[in-house]
Amino acid sequence: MSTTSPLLLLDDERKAQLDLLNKIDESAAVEICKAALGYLSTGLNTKLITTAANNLQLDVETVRTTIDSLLWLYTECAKTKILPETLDESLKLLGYKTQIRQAFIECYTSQASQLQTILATDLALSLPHYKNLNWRFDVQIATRSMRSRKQFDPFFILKLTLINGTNGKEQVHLLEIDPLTLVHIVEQLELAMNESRSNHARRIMQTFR
Amino acid sequence: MELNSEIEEDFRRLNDETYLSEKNYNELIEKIFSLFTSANTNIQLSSSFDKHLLSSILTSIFECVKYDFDETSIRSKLNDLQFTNKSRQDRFLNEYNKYLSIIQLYLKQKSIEHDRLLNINWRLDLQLKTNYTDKLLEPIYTLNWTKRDKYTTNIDQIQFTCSQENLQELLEKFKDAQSVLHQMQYQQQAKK
Repeated sequence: MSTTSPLLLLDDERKAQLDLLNKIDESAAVEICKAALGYLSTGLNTKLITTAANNLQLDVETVRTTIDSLLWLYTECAKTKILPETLDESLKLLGYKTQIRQAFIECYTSQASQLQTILATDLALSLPHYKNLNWRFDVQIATRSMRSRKQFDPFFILKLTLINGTNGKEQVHLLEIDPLTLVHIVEQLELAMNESRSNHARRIMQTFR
Repeated sequence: MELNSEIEEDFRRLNDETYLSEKNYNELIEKIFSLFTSANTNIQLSSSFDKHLLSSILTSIFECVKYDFDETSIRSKLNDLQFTNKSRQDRFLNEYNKYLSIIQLYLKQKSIEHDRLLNINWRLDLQLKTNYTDKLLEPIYTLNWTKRDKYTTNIDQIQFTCSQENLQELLEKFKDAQSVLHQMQYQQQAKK
């Protein structure tokens, strides 16, 4: 991976699908870019697309395919984390005029971080992950099986909440832990934490940055 | 502490040298207490008579530990049960004292349990790319918590991932919990 992001190069089929914006009025093209952005979160709305196509006196299927390709383009930009300048250059290759390019870049940058989060977390292969941990400190002082004995056994109860990667459901684990194990766990987690700040980890991060 | 009449009867038998020779008595006591060492959980008994005796002796041992009887109380209880043979009482008490702490632990464990966290294992990965994203460069921790399921000896694992921030949060929470231990130690020392 290099520090400058490469241009987005589209195949001919995509280019043809996106060429509609060069053929219609600029302000209409800008409107289509904005509408496509809205559909990213809501999904395609056939009724609205039909109305728009009728207003522009265009074939519904052509408008739909263009919007589809615009959605693909927004997603691709987020996937590659493209810089605005590079995106501008890439859009020039599609033959888009300044006004359309600016509108597209504005639309993209307004949603870029949200899109990237969705791609990186919601859609990605995801294992059960941490959500929350609650703890409680108790001392066991008496039990049925040891009635007269003066007991004093300190322990912690942990409630670990995880989220399943696939269906987003919560899993709750209730665990008991004795003080000595707790001390050992703190030591282990500190080691784990320090490892991500180690020279080795930093060097690897630098290599891929 | 109250024992039922069958157990009382068994103790009268234990006292009787014509019923149970010295050698057999010693062997029986040794076998019973050896149950509390982890190496030996299955003992061979010669007769159903022995099984009955064993059950009676075990019950009385558990009752003594449950009520935290000292040596004097145990002797007095044994005398009440007409188990008056001094050398046999000594033999019993000798073994009882030897295994007392283990029996206490055993009884304490016979309580209500939760799953028990035993250990934590961790791994640090650097997430680089997925089919939906390039240039991720995200450190991801995978944690594996080893636990023992309640009321069993089954060992199970809880595996999950967390970000660096999550791990920091988790660590802070564990440290908070640990600080309670320090506070408690301090309070106890201050009271002394």
